[in-house]
Amino acid sequence: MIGEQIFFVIVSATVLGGGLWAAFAKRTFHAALGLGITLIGVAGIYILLNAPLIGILQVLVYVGGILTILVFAVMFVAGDEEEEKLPSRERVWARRVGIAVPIVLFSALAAAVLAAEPWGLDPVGGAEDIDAIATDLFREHVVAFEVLGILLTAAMIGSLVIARPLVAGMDRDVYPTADKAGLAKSQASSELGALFPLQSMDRSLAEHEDTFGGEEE
Amino acid sequence: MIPTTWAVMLSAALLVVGVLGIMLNRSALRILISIELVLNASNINFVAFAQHWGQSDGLTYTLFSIALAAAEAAVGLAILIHLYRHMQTVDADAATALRW
Repeated sequence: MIGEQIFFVIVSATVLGGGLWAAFAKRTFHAALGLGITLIGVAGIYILLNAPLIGILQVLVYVGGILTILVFAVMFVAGDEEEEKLPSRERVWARRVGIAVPIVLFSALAAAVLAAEPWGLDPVGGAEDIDAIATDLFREHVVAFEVLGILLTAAMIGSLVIARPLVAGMDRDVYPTADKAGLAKSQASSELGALFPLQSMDRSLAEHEDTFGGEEE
Repeated sequence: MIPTTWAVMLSAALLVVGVLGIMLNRSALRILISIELVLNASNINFVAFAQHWGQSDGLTYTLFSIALAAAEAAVGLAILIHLYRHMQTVDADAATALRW
């Protein structure tokens, strides 16, 4: 009993430490690692709260899926740029706000929690009943479940469309370290060109540079 | 058994960390990471109260929430990559094309 609570405190500290690292690490990749620590810690919290199914799904979906594409995005999006410093007057204010906001927000939340403390009913415990979850999911909330499936499909197709290069060769400017000649050759001979109509349209690289090159100020 | 209040307090603390991350970071990637923290804070609440009242509804909603977070992350990261292609940066302050 008491061991469970000690474990909860340890895991909570891990979650919050990982969260702080995720929010304020110097490098973006370290932030992604901090997020990973937090996500695994939250899975531990779920298991401590008698919901091992949710904990397992948390690890599968968050750590296995979201964190993976996040790490990929970190690597695509490259450099940790030096943020330009604010003018010193604004920096003082930023620091004041940065200290005040978390204190105010957390004390407001804590006060609300403590005011509602007995939570109405006595604790029952033992919610994790996979039969009950299945009944909920596939009977009561079956419409929401199907809509969620449609939403996930739409999100998948949408992100494919959004992340696709608009014009053939566009990435050559963005990723200058890529082997330009090899890239051009592979794109010229690529059979994918036939599959993506936008890429095979008659827009040349020069035109693309006119379109996008002038926008950077 | 773990007191529900503890779990709710943890959730509140994680929410505050996430909100701070959203406010203080200028890289859009960091902002997305912080949004994940906030979503996790809400999920902890769902599970805590599901356990407190012995109802499985909260667990079902948590499953929905996790799926929604996956969709959000996929679309958000796609937009980010597109933004980087256009502007060679993911600084949220630099993306002003749609700002009035």
